[in-house]
Amino acid sequence: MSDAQINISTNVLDENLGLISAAGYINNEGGQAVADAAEELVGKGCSSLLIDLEGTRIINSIGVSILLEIMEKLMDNDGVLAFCNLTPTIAKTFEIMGLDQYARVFPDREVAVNAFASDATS
Amino acid sequence: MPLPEFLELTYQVLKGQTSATLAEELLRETVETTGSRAGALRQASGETFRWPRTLSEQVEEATEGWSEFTFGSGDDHWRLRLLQVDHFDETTLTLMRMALKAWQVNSELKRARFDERFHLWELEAIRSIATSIGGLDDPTELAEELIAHVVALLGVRSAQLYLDDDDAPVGRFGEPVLNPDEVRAARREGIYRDDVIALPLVAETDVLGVVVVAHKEARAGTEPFASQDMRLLELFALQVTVALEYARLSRESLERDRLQRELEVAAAIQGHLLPQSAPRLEGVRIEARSTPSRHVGGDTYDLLVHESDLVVAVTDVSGKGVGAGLIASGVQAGVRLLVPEDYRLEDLAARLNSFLCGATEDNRFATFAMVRITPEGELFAVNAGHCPILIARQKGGVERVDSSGLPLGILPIGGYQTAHLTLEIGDLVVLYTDGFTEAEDSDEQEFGVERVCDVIDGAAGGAAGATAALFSAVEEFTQGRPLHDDATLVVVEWVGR
Repeated sequence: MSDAQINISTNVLDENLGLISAAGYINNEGGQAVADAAEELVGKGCSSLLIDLEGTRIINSIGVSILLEIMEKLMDNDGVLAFCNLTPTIAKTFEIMGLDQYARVFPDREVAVNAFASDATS
Repeated sequence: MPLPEFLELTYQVLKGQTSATLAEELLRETVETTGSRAGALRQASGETFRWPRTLSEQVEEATEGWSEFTFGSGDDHWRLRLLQVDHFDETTLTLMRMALKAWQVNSELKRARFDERFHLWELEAIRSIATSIGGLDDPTELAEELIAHVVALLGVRSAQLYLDDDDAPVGRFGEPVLNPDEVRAARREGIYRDDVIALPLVAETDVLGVVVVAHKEARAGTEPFASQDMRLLELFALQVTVALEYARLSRESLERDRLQRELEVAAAIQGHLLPQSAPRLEGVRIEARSTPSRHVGGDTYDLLVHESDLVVAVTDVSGKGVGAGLIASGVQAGVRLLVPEDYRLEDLAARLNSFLCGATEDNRFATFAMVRITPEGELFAVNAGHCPILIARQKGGVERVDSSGLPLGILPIGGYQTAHLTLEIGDLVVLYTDGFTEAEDSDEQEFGVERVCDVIDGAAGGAAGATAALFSAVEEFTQGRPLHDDATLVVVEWVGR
C-alpha cells in the first residue's frame, strides 16, 4: 500500500456547499488536514460540506473522532456534513460509529451534488 | 444582571454540546460578565482554556491580581482564575459551576459512547476478517485485507505481514520498521516494545509468518502500545493464522483434485495404448496383464504382428506416475515405428536408446525386453537392462536371456546383442517386470527371479496356467500386501504351426 499519506483538495461547489476530496490514510494527521480544509471552506461561507473519500481505504479511530467533531461544528450552525465514495469497510465503520446517523452518505459525488441542489430548490 | 448570553451557553451545554470552543466561550462570558481583564480555566487533566487567547501561560504566571475559584473534585475538578475582578457575582459563578459540571458529564458520556462503539467496531473487524478472508486463497489479498483492519483498529502508522521465511513483507502499510534480522527474531519469540509489536503466526506445526505493527497514534503524535492493543493484535494474528491455514489447505485440496483428475486422464490414455486384446496368430497362445501400483505406471507392453512374426516388447521406466508413464508410452511408440523397418533387434534397441538419451531427465531410464518369434518357432530376443527373459521348456528347465547392455536412456552409445533360440511345442516365453521379482514378504525378502523360474517351470495349463500360477504365487508370498511397483507379465506359449 502506498496510501499512508493523504492528499486533500477543496472546492466551493456553490455558496453553501463545499467539497473536500480526501485520498489517503485518515488518521490524526490526515484527519486534521480534513478539519483544516473544512474550517477553510466554512470560512468561505460554506454551511454544508461534502467529503469525497474516493482513494481513502483506511480510517482509524482518531480520524473518526475528528470527523465527528467536524460534523458537530457544522450541526451547531445548522449545516450538514455528507460523504460519498465510501469503501464497504469505511461505510460499515461509519455505521457502527454512528457517523451516518447525522451525516448523509451518497454513493458518488454526482448523486450527492444533485441531492444538495434538489434540497436547495425545494 | 444581564446574563442572556451566559444562560444561552449553559443551555447549549445542558443540551449536550461538548465542543472545546464551548468551554472557551463559557470562560469568555464569565470574564466579561464579571468585568475581569482576563481568565484561565484549567481542567484536572491539565487542559487549559484562556481568554483572551493572547494570554500565554508565561504572562499568566507573571501577572499579579488573580482571583481563584475551584469547583468539583478529582477528575471533575476545575480551577477558574480571573484577573482583577470588577464585580464578584455569585449567580454567574453558580451558572458557571453548573455549566462546567454538565460539560464534564456530557464529555464523559460522549467518550463512553465512543468507546462502546469502538468495541463494536473491533468485533465487526474480527468478524469481517473471518468472513472476508475465509474466501480468499491468495496470500497477497489476504495480507492487504488484514493490514487494512489492523491499521484502522490499532491506529498505527506502520504495519506489515511477513509470510514463511521471506524477508520482504507480503502486505504492508507505511514504512517497515524491522530489519530482516529482527523479523527472523520475531518469528522465534516475537518483539514487544513500546513502539513496535511483532507477533509470530503460530500454527499447529509451524510458524507461518509474522505480523508487525508500529507507532501507535495518539491525538497529538504517538503513544506506547497498551495491553488492549496487544489483546486485539493477538486476536487478529489468530484470525489470520486460521485463514492462512485454511487457504493453504484449500490450495492443496484443489491441487490434489487437479492431479487426481490428470492421473485419471493419463491412466485412461495409457490404458488405451496397451493392446486391448492379444493378436490372433497361428502357433501361439498369449496371456498379458499389467497392474500399475499407481494410476499411471512406468510399465508398458506391446504385442505386434509383423509379416507373420509375433513381436512382444516390455518396458519398465524408473520411477512411477505421469512422468514415467509418458516415457513408457514414448518407448512403445518407438517400437511401433521401428518394427516395420525390419531392424535387427540389437539395432532397434540401440535406436531406442539413442532416442531416449537426452529426451529424459538425468535420473530417468527404461529397461526394455523384446522378442520376435517367427512362424517357424525361431526366437530372437534382446534385453536392455531388464529382468531376464525366461524360456520355460516343455521338457523341463528354464533358459534365460540376460541383459546385454545398459537400460535405455543412460548412455547415448549403447551396444546390445540379440539372442537366438529355437522353440519347441509347449515352451513358454515369459517377459515380466520387477514388480514381481521385487515383491516382498513380511520379512522384506524379495520374490526374486529364481522363484519366478520355479513357478513357471512346473506350471500346468500353458500360458494361462503359468500366468495364474505366477500371480497366485506372488500374492501368497506377499500375503496380499499391495505391490510397491508396477507389475507386467506377458507369457507366450509356442504351440507350433
